[in-house]
Amino acid sequence: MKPTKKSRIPWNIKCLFCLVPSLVGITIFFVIPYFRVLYYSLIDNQFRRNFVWLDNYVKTIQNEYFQLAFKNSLLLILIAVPALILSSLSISLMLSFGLKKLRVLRTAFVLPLVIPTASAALIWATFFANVDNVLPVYLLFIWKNIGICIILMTAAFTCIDDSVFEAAKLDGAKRFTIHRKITIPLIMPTLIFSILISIVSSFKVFKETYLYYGGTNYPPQYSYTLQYYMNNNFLKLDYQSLAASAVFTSLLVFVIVIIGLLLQRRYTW
Amino acid sequence: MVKIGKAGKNIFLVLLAALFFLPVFMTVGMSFLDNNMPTFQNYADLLFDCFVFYPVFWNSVLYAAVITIIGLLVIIPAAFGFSHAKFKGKGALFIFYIILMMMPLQVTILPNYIGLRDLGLINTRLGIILPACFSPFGVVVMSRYMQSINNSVIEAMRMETNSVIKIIFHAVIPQIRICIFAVVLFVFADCWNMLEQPLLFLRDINLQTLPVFLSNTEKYAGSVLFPAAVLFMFPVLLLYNFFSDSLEKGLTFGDLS
Amino acid sequence: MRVLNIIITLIFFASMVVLTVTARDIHNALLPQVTARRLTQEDFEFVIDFEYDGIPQTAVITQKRLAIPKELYNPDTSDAVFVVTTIYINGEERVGVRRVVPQTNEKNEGFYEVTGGISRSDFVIFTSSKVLEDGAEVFILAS
Repeated sequence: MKPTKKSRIPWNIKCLFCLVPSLVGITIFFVIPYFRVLYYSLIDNQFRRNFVWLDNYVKTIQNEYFQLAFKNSLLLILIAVPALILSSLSISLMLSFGLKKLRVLRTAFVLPLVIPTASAALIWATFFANVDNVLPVYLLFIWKNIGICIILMTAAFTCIDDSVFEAAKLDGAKRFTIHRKITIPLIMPTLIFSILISIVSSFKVFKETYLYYGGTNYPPQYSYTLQYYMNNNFLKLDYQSLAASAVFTSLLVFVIVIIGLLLQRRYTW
Repeated sequence: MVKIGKAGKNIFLVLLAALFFLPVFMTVGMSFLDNNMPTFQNYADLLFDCFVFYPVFWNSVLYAAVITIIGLLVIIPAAFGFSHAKFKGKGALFIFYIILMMMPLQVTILPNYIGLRDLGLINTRLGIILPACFSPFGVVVMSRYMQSINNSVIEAMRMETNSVIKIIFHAVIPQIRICIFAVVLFVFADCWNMLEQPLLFLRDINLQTLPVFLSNTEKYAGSVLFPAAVLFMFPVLLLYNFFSDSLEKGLTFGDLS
Repeated sequence: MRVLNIIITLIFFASMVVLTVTARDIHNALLPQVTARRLTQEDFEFVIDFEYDGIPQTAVITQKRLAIPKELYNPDTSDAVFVVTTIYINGEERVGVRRVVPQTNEKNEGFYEVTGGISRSDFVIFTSSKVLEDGAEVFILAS
C-alpha cells in the first residue's frame, strides 16, 4: 500500500471545522441577538437604559391581552394537541397494519404538510365563513400538522421487528391488545417526540390564524394567541414587552423540550 | 363480524383521507368557479390583470431556492461534523440545536431582527435569506440520519484522501441521499410558506413573497385569490411528488435519545 | 413518472417566465386604445351690454377661453366626455378614465366654451378603439 501523505491538520479538527458555518450563523443571528433581547427585557427603554430587572415581566404578565393570549395558547395545547396525537396515532396504525393497498392514502394526510398555509387558509375562510368560534383554527392546525406525526410514527412502526407481532399472535392476543401492549410502548420515544413537536407547533399557529382571519392584527378574542400579542408589540415597536414575552416563551419552550427529551430517554430501553 | 369491522375501518380510512384531501380539491375547484359557473376568467384576471403577482411569485421562488441551496451547504457539513467530530459538550450542543429547532418563530424573530438591523440588512433580500439558511432543523435531522450510515466506507476513503470535502461528496452524500431529499422538501416548503419574516423585515412591495400577497385579501380583486392559491401550491406539489418516497425513510429523527 | 414530473415543472416555470415578460403587453393590447389631449384655448365673442352716460350700449369683445371641439362634445346630442384619471387596480396605479359632463356656454364655429367639469390640466379622450365607461382602464397611444 502506498503511504498516504500525512495531513498536518488532524482529522478531528477538520470535522470540527465542518460545524463552523452553522455555528457562526447561529451565533450571529440567534445567540448574540438573544442576549440583547434578554438585555432589552431588563431595561426600562432603549434610550435611558436603566435596569428595571423584572418590571417588564411583571407588566407583561399583568397585561390583559397577554393573559388572553396565554389562555388561548394553553387551550390549543390542551385540546388540539391531544386530538392531533390520537388521530395521527390511529391513522398511522391503520395505514401501517391495515390493507397494503390503502397505503397510498398516506399522501392525503402527508400532503397538507407542504401545502402553503396561505392557500389553505383561503379555502378555510371561505368554507367556515359563518363559523364564529375557534374550531376552524383547531381543524386547520390538525390538518396541517398531522402529516409530520404520521411520518414519524410510520417510520417508527417500520422499525419494529415483525417477529414481535407473530409471537403475540401465536399467544392469541387480539389486535387491539397487541397495539396497546406492544406497538405503542415500542414507539414511545417517537410518540413523546410527536407530542413535543405538536406542542411546539401549537406555539407556531400564528401564521394559520393570521391568514385565516385575512391578515388582520386583531382576530376574534378566542383566537388571540401569544404570537399575536408578540406580533402586535413588534408592530408597535414596543421592544420591552416584546423582549419580555419572547424570553418568557423561550423559557417555556425550553422547559417543555427538556421535559420531553428526559421522558424520551426514560422510555428508551 | 370481524370482517365487517375491518371493512368498516377501511371505508372510514378512505373517507378520512378524502376529507383531508378536500381542501386542496376545493381550492382548485374554487379557482375555476365564478358564481357557481365554470370559468377561466379568474385565471385571466390573475395572470393578465394582476401584475404584482409576478415579482412576488419570483421572489418566493428566489428565496426558497437560494435558502434551500445555501442551507444544504451549511447543513451537510454541520451534520457530518456532529456525527464525526469528537469534542467535549457535543451532546449539550446537539440538545441546544434541538431546542433552537423547537423555538417558535415569535421567539427567534426578534433576535433575527436585531441581528439583521445591526448588519444593515433590514428591507433587503439578504435579510430574508441569511437567517433562514442557518435554521437548525436540517442539522438535527441529518445528524440523526448519519448515525445509521455505514462508516466503513468513510474509513476506507480516509486511507486515500485527506480532503473532508472529497469524503463528504463521495462517501457521505451517496449514503444520505434520501435524507437530503426529505430535508430539501421540508426546507423548501417551509421557506415557500414564509410569512412573518417578509411581513416584518421587508417594507418594499417589490421584495415581498406570495404569502404576504395572499394575506392582503382586501387589496386585490376577489377573483384572483383562488388562482393565486393554486399556482402557489403547484411548485411544492411538484416537489412533493418528486421526493415523497424519501419523506418517511429520510425523516427518522423521531427518536432523539 | 419522474420524467413527466420534470417536464411539467419545466413547462410550469417556462410559462411563468413567458407570462412575466408578456402579460402586461397582452393586457395593454386588449385595453381600449385611446388618444388624449388637453383642451385648447379658443377665441369666443362675448356681447357685453353696458350703459355709458345713461345710454345702453352693446360691445363685442373677443376672449380666449377653454374650448371643447364640437365633434367631441355637443350639449344637444352627446351626454358626456371622458377624461384621464388615476385608478387603483390590484394594488397598483393604472391609467383610467372618468366620465364627466362639461358645462358649456358660448360657441363659435368649431367649439363650445367650457365653463365647468373639465379643467385646463385635464387630458380629454379624443378617440377610442372601444366604447368607454366610467372607471375603465385605458391604454394611451402616443399622440
